[in-house]
Amino acid sequence: MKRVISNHIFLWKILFKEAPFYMLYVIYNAFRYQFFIFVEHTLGIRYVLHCAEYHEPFYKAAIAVIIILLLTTLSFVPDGFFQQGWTQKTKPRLYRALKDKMYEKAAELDLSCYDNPDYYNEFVLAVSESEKSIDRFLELIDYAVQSITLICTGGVFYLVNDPIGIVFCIASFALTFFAAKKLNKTNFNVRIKNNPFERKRNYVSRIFYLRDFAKELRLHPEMKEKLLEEFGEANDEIVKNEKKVSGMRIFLMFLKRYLFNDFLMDTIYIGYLAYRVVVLHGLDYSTSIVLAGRTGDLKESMEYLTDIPVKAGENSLYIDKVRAFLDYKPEIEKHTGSDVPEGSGELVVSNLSFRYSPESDYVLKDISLKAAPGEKIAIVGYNGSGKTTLVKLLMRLYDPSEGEITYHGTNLKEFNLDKFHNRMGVVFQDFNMYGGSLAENVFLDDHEPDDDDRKLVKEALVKSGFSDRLDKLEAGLETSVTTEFDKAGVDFSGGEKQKVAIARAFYRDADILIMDEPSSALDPIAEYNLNVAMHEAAKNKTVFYISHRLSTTRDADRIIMLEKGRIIEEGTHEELLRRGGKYAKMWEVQANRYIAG
Amino acid sequence: MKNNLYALKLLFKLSPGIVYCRGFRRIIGYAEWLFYSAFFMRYIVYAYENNESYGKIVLFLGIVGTVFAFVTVYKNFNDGYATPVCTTIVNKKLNSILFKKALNVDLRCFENSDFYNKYTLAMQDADTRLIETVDVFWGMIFGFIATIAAFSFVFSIDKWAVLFVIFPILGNFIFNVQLGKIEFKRNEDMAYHNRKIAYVNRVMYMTEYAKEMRLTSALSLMKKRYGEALSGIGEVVAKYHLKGAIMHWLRCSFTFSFIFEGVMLYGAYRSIVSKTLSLSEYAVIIELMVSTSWILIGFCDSCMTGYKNGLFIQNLKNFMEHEPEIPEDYDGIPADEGIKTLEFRNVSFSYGEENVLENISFTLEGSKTYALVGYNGAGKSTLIKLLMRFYDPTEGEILLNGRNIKEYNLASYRRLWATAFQDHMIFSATVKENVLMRDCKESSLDDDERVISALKMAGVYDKVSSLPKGIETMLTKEFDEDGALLSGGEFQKIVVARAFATDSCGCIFDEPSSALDPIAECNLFDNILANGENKTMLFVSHRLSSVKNADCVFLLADKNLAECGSHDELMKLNGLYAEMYNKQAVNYLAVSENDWKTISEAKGKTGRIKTPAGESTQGGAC
Repeated sequence: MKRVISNHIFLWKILFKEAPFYMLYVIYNAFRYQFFIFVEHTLGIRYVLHCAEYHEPFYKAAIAVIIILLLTTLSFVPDGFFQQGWTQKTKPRLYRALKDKMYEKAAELDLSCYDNPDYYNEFVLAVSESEKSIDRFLELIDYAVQSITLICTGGVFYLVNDPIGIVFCIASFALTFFAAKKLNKTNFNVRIKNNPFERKRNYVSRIFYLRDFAKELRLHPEMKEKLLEEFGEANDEIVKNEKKVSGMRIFLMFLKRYLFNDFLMDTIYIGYLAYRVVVLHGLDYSTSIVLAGRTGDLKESMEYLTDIPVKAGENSLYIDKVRAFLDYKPEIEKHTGSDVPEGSGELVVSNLSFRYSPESDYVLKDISLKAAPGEKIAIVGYNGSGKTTLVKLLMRLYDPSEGEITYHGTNLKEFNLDKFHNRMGVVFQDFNMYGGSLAENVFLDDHEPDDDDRKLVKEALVKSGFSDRLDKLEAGLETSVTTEFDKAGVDFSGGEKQKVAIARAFYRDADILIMDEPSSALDPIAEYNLNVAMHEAAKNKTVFYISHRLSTTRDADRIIMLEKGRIIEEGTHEELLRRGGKYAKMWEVQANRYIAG
Repeated sequence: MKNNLYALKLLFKLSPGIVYCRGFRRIIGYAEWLFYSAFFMRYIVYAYENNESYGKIVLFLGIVGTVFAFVTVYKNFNDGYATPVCTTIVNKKLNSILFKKALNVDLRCFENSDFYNKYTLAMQDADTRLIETVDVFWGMIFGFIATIAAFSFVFSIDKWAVLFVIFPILGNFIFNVQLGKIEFKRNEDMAYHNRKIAYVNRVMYMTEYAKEMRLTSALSLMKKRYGEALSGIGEVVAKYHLKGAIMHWLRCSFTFSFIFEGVMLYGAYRSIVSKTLSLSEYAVIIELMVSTSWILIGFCDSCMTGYKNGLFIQNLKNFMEHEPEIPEDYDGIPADEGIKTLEFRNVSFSYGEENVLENISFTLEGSKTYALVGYNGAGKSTLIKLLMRFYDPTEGEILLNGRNIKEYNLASYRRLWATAFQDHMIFSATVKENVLMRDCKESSLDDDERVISALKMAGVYDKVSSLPKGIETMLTKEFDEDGALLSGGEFQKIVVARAFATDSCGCIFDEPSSALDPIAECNLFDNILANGENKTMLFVSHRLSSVKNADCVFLLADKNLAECGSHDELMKLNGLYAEMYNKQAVNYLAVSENDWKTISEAKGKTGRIKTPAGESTQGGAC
């Protein structure tokens, strides 16, 4: 409970900071709604009926009605602007206020969090639920304020006119609550029982409806039969479960809806009111009518109020996720650290070992290596040998478990992370384009480019071998990239994307260039062109090139062969061939195919 | 309206019970409402005024209470038994129809994003939405009847009071509809900005962007996009908010205030000044006006939702009435003579306007091996889909043993081929079932052997046998917490094993090795070739080294078969294939002689390097 409250206070603080007046108006609005209903339907009706019953002069009733009319219609004026303008504009801002914090965090989160599927799922859930948790919170505020307003206004009215009525309301409410709780539990149990079958049902539907599986189903009709059968069985089980509980459910519903509710309030309570009017003459007609009409609302608002802790508890679970995510302390601190010295320096890895968690096995073991400025180093090995992990450490996406990496003689940990990353150009196999102009995709930050800047971007693209494609683009650097939200946008092919990625490295004038299997998904011509572009890019830079296709790495100054996380061979292509070890074997297997006809 | 009737008919066919349930539910709902607001209080106040005995009031309350006890029992039976059971039945029956339909939809429709979007809309929760449509339809019908009934009650009490009903009618059917239009337009204008926000959101949490987010300042670029979207939304809101606020005021005032306060005032006048309205009638007429207003709101909502549902039903109807060009149960003569020849004769194909393939002719002969190569996007996969008869050619024909493949029974034609595609899909079932692709509850030892040997050939048996239940292990965690999640390469190998486990005359492999490392890849190709003896075999690959051993290579370029012949012939031709090959091989070839010398020297020292085939462990060689 404490947690639930503190979670909602946390959310309130963020929202209030972003839009204080809006949040206050949300509260006022909920109050206004119920308050005017009370004025119109309780006070108003009672007053005019009273006037009619006791033959008061007409002008009294008329004035009251006109005042109410003016007040309510007047209250609709700000309400219109609130609903049609303010809310529409402010809600997206509230969402952003929370998501901004999450984005900042996501960007400094340790990359290892992404490798942990449990953590990653929580994280995705937190992001995707953040908007809904705000919606739910606003709804809760609305609910709570409305119920409290109604209970206060209605309660006072009953206390003044018929305190016994409150007893009826409370009794009915308590009994209904009890029956509803039982009923919910019954329903919940059925849901739990049905859950696996529903999952099965959804799974089969997905397979049949998604295009991803369309080919498979057409090629393997027996699989289809199996799935159909499972689908039928799942539905039959659900029917069985539903039938089993239906008796209990009907009984509880009868208690909840009729015996504790309609019967108690519409038969017994009205019988009691009639008794007071007809037999005791203790109540006038008009009050009796209004009392009979308002009991339902009063009881309903009590039910709402009891719902609130349940709903708040549910919402709190999601806020928990958001907060847990925001409270995460990344191991790699992003904002501190010193500048990186100018110019290309020596990169030294000494006695480095790495594992993803203290329980897991070492992915890299006792790696030492030195890269002089401008040296080209190829890292080769089979899948799972640790190549990619090693370069991730060089980029400081992880910190070593043991040993250290230094650049310009300083441990990478001492540098400001952003500044260090700015000195580095990286090309992967799966490079992403971002929704924005081509120029933005090259410099990748939020500044508005001036003419000089545009020239630099263009030069970078020309150097990366993109100029032919660039000439064909009508809008040139302003071409909108990806069709994510611009239908007129351009989707580049794999090879083109990678050239843009290389242009990013040129634009930054990085000292270190890291290329991780950039060409494995390309057709031979595209691969060749990419290699030529990279060759150009590599001039005067320290280069790390990862590949398991040795044809692309043979010209390196030094080749490092990794196996099971260790460096097993090191040297130039010729030296390694002469050694006749693992590298030579790997080379032979690959070259064999091309040379021996 | 027509669509709603269609929905009613369809649902009635699936489960008449649910149609009645929903109908009665609506009738009872409105009847109860009208009874309480028009009769109940009126009777009691009338009894007050006429000094009826208390016993009479109690009797009345007793009768009402008893009647409603029975009504509630029926309602509860409806909600607690009939609805859940019928809903499940509808789900089962409707989906069985839709599944069969979905299976019959031509594959090219799936690839048409327009069709696919509409189709997805039609499929999403089709069962619950169909029921909702019928429910809303009843809401329209009985809402209308209830509205008329409410009017006549008001009329029976006071014929002039009925005129006040004009206010909520204006409020609902003029101003509310206008407001809906404004909101619709506003949302339409906002959609672009919301898409932008959704995009930024996705980029922020998808793993594939995580590395770049750290290495570059793309975060600030994405935040800029977000900011742009927000100011965009602000502008859209500013454009509509005045109009919206005015309509909102008109709607609320007319629907709630004018009628309510109007009737209060009018009733007070009639009751106090002209004394033509009794107190009970006055009380009832106020209550009745509130109810009428809400019945109208409900009716109006039903109409608007009914209209929206109409669009959904239209999509569903289109889909149900869709006539596939190549139905799955396409019948014809059985293809039981094996593959002697398979000929493409002047085949052209286009997805829309432009041809993807143009005038392609070639012949595959039984028990030979063919390779298909070309640029990314040259149409290789399309050609294979034509061959599998997922599509029919736009022009030209494909002949099996001299007969157009359209003449064969589709299922028996497809059974001629074993296939493995690059966009493989794994089912949430056991490894064995994923290889054999059928239910394996009753399977023989033969099956097991077949599965194991296929997995071995695909080079993934070592991995599978290391799983706790071997080939009986469930794949994916969808239904089984202990289900196995394999790497992309391993899943790919299992898909390839499907082809190995199938006893067929022909094999097709579409880039089966894209996720594998070179050693595993070349092992796989050796096995593919070994398995392909006596079979017609066609495979697609970018690695030209693995293409060399094919009997014939087809090179697709510019929508056409640019080159065709054996590797040696094509190299001699010195065209595009030779260029591709050389570019890929350049570094291997450039210094080959030198390298071979060094390698053979090295061999002299370390002994001959063995090349055992059929093993894919790391460091092993072909």
